[in-house]
Formats: sequence, structure tokens, C-alpha cells
Amino acid sequence: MSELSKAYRHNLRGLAAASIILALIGASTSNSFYLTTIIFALIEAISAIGLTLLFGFAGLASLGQAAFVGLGAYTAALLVERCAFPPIAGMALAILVPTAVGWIIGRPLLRLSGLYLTMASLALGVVLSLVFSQAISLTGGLDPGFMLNHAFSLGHWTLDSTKDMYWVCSVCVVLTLYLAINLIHSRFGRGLRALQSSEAAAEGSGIATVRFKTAIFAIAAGMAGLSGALYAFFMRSFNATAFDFSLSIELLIIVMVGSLRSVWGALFGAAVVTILPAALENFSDYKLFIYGVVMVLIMMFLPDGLFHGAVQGVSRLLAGKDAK
Amino acid sequence: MSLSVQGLTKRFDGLTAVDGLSFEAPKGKVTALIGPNGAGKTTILSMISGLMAPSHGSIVYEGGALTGLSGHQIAQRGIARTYQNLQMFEDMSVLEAVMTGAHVLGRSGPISAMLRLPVVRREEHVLEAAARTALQRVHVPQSLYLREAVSLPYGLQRRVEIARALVAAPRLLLLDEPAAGLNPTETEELTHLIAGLRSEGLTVLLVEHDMEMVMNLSDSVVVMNFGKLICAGTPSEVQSNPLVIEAYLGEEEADA
Repeated sequence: MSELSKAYRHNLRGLAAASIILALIGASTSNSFYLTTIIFALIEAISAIGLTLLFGFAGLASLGQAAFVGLGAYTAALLVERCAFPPIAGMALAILVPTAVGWIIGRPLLRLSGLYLTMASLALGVVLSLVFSQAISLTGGLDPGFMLNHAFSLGHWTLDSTKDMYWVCSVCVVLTLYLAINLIHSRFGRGLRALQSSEAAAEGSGIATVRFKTAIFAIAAGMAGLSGALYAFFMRSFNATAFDFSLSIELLIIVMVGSLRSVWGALFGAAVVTILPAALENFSDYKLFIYGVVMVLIMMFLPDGLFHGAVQGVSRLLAGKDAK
Repeated sequence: MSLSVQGLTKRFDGLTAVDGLSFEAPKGKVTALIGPNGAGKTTILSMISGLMAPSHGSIVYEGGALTGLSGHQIAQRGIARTYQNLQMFEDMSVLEAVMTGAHVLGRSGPISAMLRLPVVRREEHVLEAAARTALQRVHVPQSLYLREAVSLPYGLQRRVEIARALVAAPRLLLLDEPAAGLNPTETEELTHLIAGLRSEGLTVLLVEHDMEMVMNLSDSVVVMNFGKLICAGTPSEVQSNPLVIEAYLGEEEADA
């Protein structure tokens, strides 16, 4: 077997391990506060996986991912609530609509490079966040917000409890990771990494860089849309503040804390960014301070992100055992 | 005729980097493009490979115009190049970097890749096999295939870069100072490699400062200075041309 398919198999084994861990957490946790926190982490992880592909692999820093999360959330919620779509169809369209929007606005946007692209994505995020808060007849705006009366369901099987949503989110995370791992270990994935490192040499190798960038922008938008749909079905009542600029920033932090070079980082980053504030709840006044210090320490001592730090730690432990 | 350049001009604001240059690179031959630093050689390669648009003039390759095409479309037509400053892909193993060069051998897009359809799996094997063949061709030891490409010594990175260009089985190869930074033994190996490629029918356009290599290897030499053609001909014709000696080789001899 070739070395590269070994690397791919390695990732699939990791995915199997992650599925087992998620199943164990699901089977052993009944405290709904813990479950809710973990669900938020899983939902953000899905957007962050998309952003890792976009930012980490293709080098395109987007500050507008929240727009696609919101687009996904409102697409799913409106289709189910107003058009009587089955929730699973609403969820499918919550992926497709942001993907299509990402594709269409991606082409002009991605002719920009570096900082200009980041600023343009920031503008996109701000504009859509304004639309979400002002188009009250559709979204409910900031107040009263959107009320989704239908729970997520598959056929006649209604999945409305926190535990049910945990399973739904876990399955979605595992599927998203699977798609992302496949994407990286392909001609397309190598093309993304190539264009990040040298756009000239990528073009010279026959890679249509603009089309590749547009495609990964659309894919990341689709993943953000899926996390939006999950958010809508989990919260059932939400308003436009959920999809403002701070979510885009949080997703970027997740990716940078987790890893820029591996989609696995999104899980680690999302866990820290969502679970840490919840765990620090008791420290009241010092909460933000401790949160900030932890983030700074991670960036100082694990500049490659938590995932690589964890991998290095484990391999050092194993090497230490071998030495003895 | 493989490549034919007519009246090619490139202006950057006030500066005319290439000024009405015409030359041809016959099929299955090594054509060298030489001239002092700043003569516009790399600019010409960049225009042929679609990195820069010419201000004027035409570039015709195998009967079709290349002007107006983007870089990846030109690569898809069987033109590959190397770069003066390497442009190695970071964060990639040697094998992956060369597989990236084999991009045009595959067809799968992002959706089939995400679903890992059988076509993608087959394609991965094809690309990896092609990359291994190309790496063997340029004598990169197999033990280095999984090393990070940018961590290799310069001479080896040069070879990886040539493998990255060769893997797509181009019909025209543009080499931008491939011997720069190589020691005499490595340069000799490179000369053999290029001569071998020529004997297989590959057309080569070579930009190089190593005169020994240029004169030993080239079938014809195009000399330019300040963006203009000085003369073109066989290596011996060029070497005896007084204009060339004055503009270029004379300086070389004085230096030596």
C-alpha cells in the first residue's frame, strides 16, 4: 500500500475513534447543561471544519462565515415553518443555498487577494447580519426573533430532546469530517495547498486557481449552512444576534487555536472555545481574564494549534516509553 | 515548429522589459535564451506560461495562440516550467508536490473527491505512480519521498521542481536558470537529463547563465539584451558574433 493511502487510512481510523468517543459521551452524559455545551461545540466545529479548509488549506481568511451560518439557519427554519418542508429537506437546502450563494459571490470576491478578500468577507458578514436583523417579516429580526415550532425529525421519527439533538449533531460532525478528510486527500485538496503556497506555480501546474478558490469558498459556506440549520433545530427560538460578527471571529479563533493544518483541529478548537467559558462560569468577574490568558498561552506554546500539540505530546510519550 | 514568438513586447509603466522580440523554438530541440541580467528573459518565460500578459505581439504554440490564455490553460496544453526562485509548495512532501504537478493528468473535482468515488481512488494511484516515475527520472532517492520538499537541500529541491514539471508529460518545457545554485557535478547531471529529454522529443526553452551548459546543450541560442534580440543561431555562430561578444560574452571573458 502506498504511503499516501496510509495517511488517509490513518485519518479514517481517527474518525472511527472520534465516533466511538462521541458515542461514549452520548451514552454516559445525561446532564442537559453539559450536553447543551457539547452540542454548541459540535455545531461550531462543523463551521470551523469548513473554515479550516478555506483558511488553513487555501489560505483565504474569511471574516464572514457567520453570514452563511445565518443563511443556513433561516433557510432551514423558514422552509420548515412557512413552507411545511420536512426538516431533513430544510436541512439539505440549508446546505445548498449557502453553497450556491458562496459560489455566486465567491467568484468576484476571490479575485481579491489577501487582506482585501478578508475585508470584503467582513463586509459581506456585516451586510447579511443587518439583513437578518432588519428583514423582520422573514427572520423576526432581533425582537421577537424566530420561533421554530417544528422539531427536527426523520420521517415519523421526531428528534426533539437535547439527547436526540446531540446524536444528530454528532452524526453531522462525523459526516462533515469524513467529507473534509476525503477532500484533503485528493487532487483538489493538494491543489488548494499548492495555491496557498504559490499561486504562480499552482497555475503553472494546470490548477485553475480562481475556480478552486470559488469551490472551497462555496464548500465552506455549505458547511457553515449545515451548522446554522443544526443551530436552528436545536435552539428553536433564536434571533439575529446569533449570526453577527462575533460568531465569525469565534470561528476564526477556533481554527487558529485548533489547527490551521488539520481539520481535526476544529474539534479541539471548538471544544476549548465553547466549553472553557462554560467551565469558567464560577469565576464570574475573572472569567474573561482567564479565558484570554488561556488563549494567549495556547498561541504562545502551541503555535501550530492544539491538535498538533496533542499529537506531539502523545508521540513524545510513546517515544519515552520506547526508550525505557 | 513548436513555439513561435513574434514581435513580443512587455511594458511596465515606463520600462520596456521586452521589446519586439521574435524567435522560434523548434520541436524536439533545446533552444537557449541568454542575455545579461535584466535582459528580459524571465519576463518572456512568464508571458509564454501565462503568468503575465504581453503588451504586444503573439505567442503561437503548436499552431494555436497562447496570448489571452490563463496560466492553467497553457499548462493544460502541455507546457510546463520551472522557476528561478523555485516556488516549491510548502507544507507538502516531495511526493505530494510532484503529484500536484501531475494535476492535468486527473479529472476529478471537489464533489467526487469529497465522496471519494472509485474514480478518485483510481486517479490517486495514477498520479502517485506518475510522480514516482518522474522522481526516479531525476534521481531523487526514494528515501526522501515523504520528506517535506522545502526542507531538502537546494540541489535536490531543483530536481524535485524539474520532476514536478516533467510529471505532467509536457511537450514544451521552460527552464528558468535550472543550474543556478548547483555544483559542477549536479550541473553535468542536469545537462545529461535535458539531453535525454530532448532525445525523447521534448522541446526545451532554456534560460541559463552557465555558458558551458548552454553551449554544450543547445541546438540554437537566442541572445538578447535590454529586451531586444541581438542575434540567434547555433552555439558556434553566436559565440563568433561580434555583437554578442561585445554585449555579453566579452564581458564574461573579461570577468574570467
